[in-house]
Amino acid sequence: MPIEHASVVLDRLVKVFAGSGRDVVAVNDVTLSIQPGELVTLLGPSGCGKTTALRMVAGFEMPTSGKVFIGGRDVTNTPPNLRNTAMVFQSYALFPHMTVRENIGYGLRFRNIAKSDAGEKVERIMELVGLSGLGDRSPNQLSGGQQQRVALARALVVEPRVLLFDEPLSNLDAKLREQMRGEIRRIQKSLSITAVYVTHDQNEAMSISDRVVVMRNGQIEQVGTPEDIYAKPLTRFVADFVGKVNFIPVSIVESGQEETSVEIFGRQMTIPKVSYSSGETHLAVVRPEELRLMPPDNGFVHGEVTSRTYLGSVVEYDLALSDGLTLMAIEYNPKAKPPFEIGDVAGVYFDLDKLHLLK
Amino acid sequence: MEENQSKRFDRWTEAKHELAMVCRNPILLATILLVSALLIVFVIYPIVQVIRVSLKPDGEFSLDTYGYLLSQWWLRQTFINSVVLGVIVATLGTIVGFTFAYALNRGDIPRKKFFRLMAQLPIISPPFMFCLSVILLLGRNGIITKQLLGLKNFDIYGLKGLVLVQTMGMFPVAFMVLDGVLQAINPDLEEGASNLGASKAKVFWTVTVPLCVPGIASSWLLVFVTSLADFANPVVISGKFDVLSVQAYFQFTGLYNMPRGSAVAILLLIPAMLAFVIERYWVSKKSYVTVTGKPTSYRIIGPSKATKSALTAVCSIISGIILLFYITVIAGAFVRLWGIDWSFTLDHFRYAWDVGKDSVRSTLVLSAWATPITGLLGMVIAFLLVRTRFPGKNILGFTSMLAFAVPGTVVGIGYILAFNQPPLLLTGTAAIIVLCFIFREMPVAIEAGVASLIQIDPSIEEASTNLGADTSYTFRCITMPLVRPAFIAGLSYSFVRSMTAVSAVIFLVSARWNHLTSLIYAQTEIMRLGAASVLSLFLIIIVVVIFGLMRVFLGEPVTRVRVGN
Ligand SMILES: Nc1ncnc2c1ncn2[C@@H]1O[C@H](COP(=O)(O)OP(=O)(O)O)[C@@H](O)[C@H]1O
Ligand SMILES: [Mg+2]
Repeated sequence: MPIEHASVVLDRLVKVFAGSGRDVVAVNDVTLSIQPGELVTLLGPSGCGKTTALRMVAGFEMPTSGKVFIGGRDVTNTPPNLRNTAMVFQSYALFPHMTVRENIGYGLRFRNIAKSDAGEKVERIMELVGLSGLGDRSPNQLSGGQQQRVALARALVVEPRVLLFDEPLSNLDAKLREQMRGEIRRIQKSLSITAVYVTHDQNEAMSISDRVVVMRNGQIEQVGTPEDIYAKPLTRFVADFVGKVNFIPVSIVESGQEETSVEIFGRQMTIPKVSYSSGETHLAVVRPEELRLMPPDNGFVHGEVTSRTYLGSVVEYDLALSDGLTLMAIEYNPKAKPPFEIGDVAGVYFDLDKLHLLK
Repeated sequence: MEENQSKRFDRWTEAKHELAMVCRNPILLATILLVSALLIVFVIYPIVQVIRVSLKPDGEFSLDTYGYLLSQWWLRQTFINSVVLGVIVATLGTIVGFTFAYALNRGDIPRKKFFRLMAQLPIISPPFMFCLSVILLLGRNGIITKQLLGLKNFDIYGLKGLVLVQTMGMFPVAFMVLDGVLQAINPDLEEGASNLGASKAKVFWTVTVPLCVPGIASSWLLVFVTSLADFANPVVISGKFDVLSVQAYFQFTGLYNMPRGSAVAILLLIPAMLAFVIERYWVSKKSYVTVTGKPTSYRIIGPSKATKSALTAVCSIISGIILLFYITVIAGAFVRLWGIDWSFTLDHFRYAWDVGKDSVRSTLVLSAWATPITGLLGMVIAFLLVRTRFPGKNILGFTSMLAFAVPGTVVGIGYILAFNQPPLLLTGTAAIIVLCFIFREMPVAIEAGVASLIQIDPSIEEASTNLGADTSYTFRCITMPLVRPAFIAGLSYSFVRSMTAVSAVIFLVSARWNHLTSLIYAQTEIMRLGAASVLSLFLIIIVVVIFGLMRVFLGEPVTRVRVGN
């Protein structure tokens, strides 16, 4: 199915809602460029303006200022029905008075397609998303997962220039959610269709996206590949929002040619050169799985185990250090090593070569 | 932040954006403009005309008419009478309405279905019917007063008769409001209080009643407005107890004193508007009913035996009176000369058919025109109010609901004054009556539509737009099928109201386009009570038959389906 690849550009987008008493700046100066065929996720806590941004791309909201371009064309003043975007809604928004087939074929009514061709398209897309044989059912005779597929099929069949997803999986149970996000990714890649995907679930964002846009209070906090966002967060907010994290204070002692000498846990150590000047203190982002627990005499510092959570494939430990800091550590393959008990003292070690310091 | 200064935002910017949003959608823009124009011409303009005529008796601005009204004690008394009547009926009606609502929702009384029907029957009963029955029962030749009690000089005309018929006719207004309120109050609250050891009476007075206060206030104000605006009952049974609606009618059509008729109508408009505005913008905002979303469970703490018997007794008595009214009218249709010659006759039917067949036809034609237009226009406006944003939306909403508050008498006079010259020369036509019906009954269609639209996930319509449908296609193929039950409810209601309208239409009927209710009034005037009874029966039968047909062909109107996933 050839689909016209389209880029999406948000240019200094602002949306203010006039609230009673106080105005809400839902989207605050968002600029973003999405390549044709790319899947970009807007990730952020509830209320940060993801949906509003998405709705401006679809045309349901008019930006207070700024512009939206689709395929290089300024569509800011184009009504939603002429934008050729297709949205998968959080609530699915299926038409309850139509059958599955009618739901999926609905968008084709507006696209000058012969009836027989339209029927064929609908059948093909039902096969693609795994709905064969359910065409005559009414949406309320379907399971949540099947309804989700209908919503997806209904959006795909019109061959939109951009696919828009607003938390499409949030009403499904965990298992189905993982399965569906894999399928969405597969279909999106195979059709290489541009997609904007909104979610507050970082796992979903990481697993599905080419790039992730982390938003906070209507603004973009960071844009990057899932790996970048996870390993090199720019701000404490991003580090905190994406996965579990330890923030460890690092004081810069002296910057050399190749290496920087720093103080961590009251110990002088050297790390690969960073561009901060001596005297400053920065937070290092250390993921729990980077920490290694060892017998008390080893490691940079030792701490007392205050809790231990066994999760099957991993064990999570909380450690209290003598200076009041708490650390979280995750150990994989728990069977390989004798576990620490609560009250045990453990040494903590991590790889200094990959230390990521926040500004 | 300094930066935010540049994004400073105010109502004007918001309005400009809403306007831009509307302007890129020509169909929506056209619809808004059309609806606004209609509301201005058929709702605002007639009222303005009434005010204008009352202030410009001889083409010059003058307050003379009002000065006259205030200087004449009998006219002052008319005003006081209307308000006193309104207060009494609002109070009694609310008490009866609350009793029914409480009995049906919490009282655990037997025969709930029957009592619910009885509490709604008066709404679809023809005007004049109750006072006709009261005259037949309690009038000079009344079966109770004259035959049973042998009273010679008993006079039911006046305040007591009015209070009786209006309370019986209008308590359903309070019932409907309070029934909704009680259904929405989570019984867990009351149960919780009783688990904490509160006695049943204490739960009632400290939990149930306080939660109902806004609803009770709403009911009181709504019944007050209804009583104030009532024309049919007072014109027949008020006797010497003069009220504003009747006075305005006689000034205007009897004495051809248009300025004075208009001024009296304005006196009627002011308290009605006041009550309406208080209800809508103050009382209904105060409602703190806890809506749980799930239907009320049946774990209701039953009242004590005595309470239950008392509730059953009150409901039975009121229902008995309503049934008695119906039986009386039916009997009246077959009795030769009530109170004097009790022999059976079909003469009244022959006579009523002779004088009435044209009116039956024209009433049906007028209602048949008005009903679908009202339903559709109401739904379109509901859609605009719930689903779209545009500058001036609040004003449009207020105007479209205005007909709730404006007494029919004011509307009738307004239409006569507004449409008696080109380019809108409509006097004596069917159009003026149909238009009057449409704009008077639209608020209910709008409310039904709004109530149903806010239950439908807006993303269903957005999905349609998103897939390429324009606003009008979405409205026809998505919105309308989803709000169908509300649409049908709106249709049924506006049909009944068209069939039973009096206060405005009485000014607008003509020889060619008469209305059954106006004919019933004429027959009552000349004391042909038998014929009036027959014509009332015609009206009841037509309403019931059409109601049934609508159900058969359009489906059940009452079931509220919750749409969405
Ligand atoms: N139609 C609206 N009117 C007023 N405020 C709104 C509207 N839509 C969203 N908001 C506000 O804008 C902010 C961002 O909302 P939204 O975009 O829905 O966030 P998210 O999708 O990230 O949870 C919130 O504070 C929300 O209350
Ligand atoms: Mg959202």
